[in-house]
Amino acid sequence: MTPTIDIWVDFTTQDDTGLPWTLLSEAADPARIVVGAFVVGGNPQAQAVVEIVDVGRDGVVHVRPLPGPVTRHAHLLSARAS
Amino acid sequence: MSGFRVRHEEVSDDTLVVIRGGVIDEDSLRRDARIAFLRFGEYGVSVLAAPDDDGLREVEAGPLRGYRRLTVTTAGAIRRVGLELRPTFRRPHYTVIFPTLDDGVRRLLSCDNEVIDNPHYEADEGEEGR
Repeated sequence: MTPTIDIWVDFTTQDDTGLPWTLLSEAADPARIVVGAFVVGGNPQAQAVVEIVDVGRDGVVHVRPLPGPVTRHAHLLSARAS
Repeated sequence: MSGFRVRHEEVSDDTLVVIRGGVIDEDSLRRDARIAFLRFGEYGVSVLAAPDDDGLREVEAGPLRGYRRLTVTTAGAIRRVGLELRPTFRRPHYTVIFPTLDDGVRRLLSCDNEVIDNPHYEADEGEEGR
């Protein structure tokens, strides 16, 4: 089963940080996208638990994907509103 | 808004293998190109590139390890459909620049490519092929 994606991330992206990035507007619930939070990032073809590294005032969000499937790191996920 | 930071690098031949995570589909291309536009003021999608098989293995095992499948093409194939492959940010990152959203998506979808399995993809327990 595909995990629910908290924020759309194309893991092919990189900028000068060397990290994948996306925009805060791509989050299902932007309030959950805070530095240090672990959420599910990805797209229909790849999902990973990602750590939110920074959230810029311009809405740019850098993430650090954790290796392996989402279930391996599910204990890290911040609580979701149901 | 700042544009893509461009590396001064020659991208000259078909030996440069270009990889994008997943199987190329129109919806994802549109969404990713729009996101790039909102940040950089130009439509485009990210790709990674490798000069040889060893480089390809590094990309498969690194940034793209979360993708079960990868789309592989060449710099030449991208040029032949009239798109620019621009060296952006840090190696091995490049951006395929779209002249317009619709035209870029159409051209990239028509580009010769090969879909390969990623040997470094780690499936979830009980996961079936997607």
